[in-house]
Amino acid sequence: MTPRRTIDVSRLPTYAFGHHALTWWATWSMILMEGTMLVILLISYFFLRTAVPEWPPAHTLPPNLFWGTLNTAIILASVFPNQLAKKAAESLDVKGVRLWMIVTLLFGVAFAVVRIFEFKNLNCHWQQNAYGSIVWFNMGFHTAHVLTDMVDTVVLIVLMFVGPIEGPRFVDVSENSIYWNFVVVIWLLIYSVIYLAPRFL
Amino acid sequence: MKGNMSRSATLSELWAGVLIGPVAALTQLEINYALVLWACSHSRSWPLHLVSLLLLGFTVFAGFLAYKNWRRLADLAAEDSGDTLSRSRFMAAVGTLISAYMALVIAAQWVPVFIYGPCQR
Repeated sequence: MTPRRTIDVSRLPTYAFGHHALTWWATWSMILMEGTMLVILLISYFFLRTAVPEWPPAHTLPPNLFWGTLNTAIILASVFPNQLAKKAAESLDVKGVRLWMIVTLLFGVAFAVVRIFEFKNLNCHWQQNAYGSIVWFNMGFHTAHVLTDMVDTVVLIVLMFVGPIEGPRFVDVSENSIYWNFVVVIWLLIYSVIYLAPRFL
Repeated sequence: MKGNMSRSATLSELWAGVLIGPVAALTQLEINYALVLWACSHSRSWPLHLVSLLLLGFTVFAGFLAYKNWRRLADLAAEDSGDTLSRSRFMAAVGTLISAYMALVIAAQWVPVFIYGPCQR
């Protein structure tokens, strides 16, 4: 009788960071899908633009540059605490994770508040015409991502305080940071299209 | 008169169709993500099922409202007229489709609760 071969895997880690983690692949798959949606949205914007002689349409001003630019500065600044949260998570530093996630969340809250002013200063309405619809849709798309990631961040912060704090939780914090960076990058694209393209392109 | 019909209660129903499904899917994900630790330490999976069932119910209900509006507005809205009623009907159609899709998402997120124990994560 042939002896049954077995491997002792009890010494293998129960979690890992980066591409060794299944959630890393899930996060990047999500980013790929959401990124594809964004590209489709941006193509729609320029497709509609080609169909009319004037863009933005007559008597419609481009969105107010101040609020969008202010929000761009806020979200770019949020990258720093976000990276520090990621670094803290990968070092299993609970205090660091708590601190930097809260700071990142505060940046998110500030961004969301300024977003209200952005919506008020778009100088168009979604039901006005195709220009208004695509501008609002792009802004809504990004706002949904910001809010979703903020909900994720709140849940992770609460779990980091109430416990139990387990290794995979740090992996989730790290993945959450990657996703926030994605939210930042897509904002730079949307900002360029919504705020800058009508003025300079 | 026709334009006023899609205002007030119906307008909130139209928005419910569009928004409840995605919010429910996110809520299910977040609550179950947090709750799985409790479920593991207490060896009980039923709260995870309950959350999924409730949120699936909300989503199906929102879809039903949207579908009801879509059917109701069929006789009233002129095709491609761009008026309030035809836009309302479009929104009802979008709400129906989003709710159906989100019901599938919630069901898909529910499947692992049947297959894996709460401590397998």
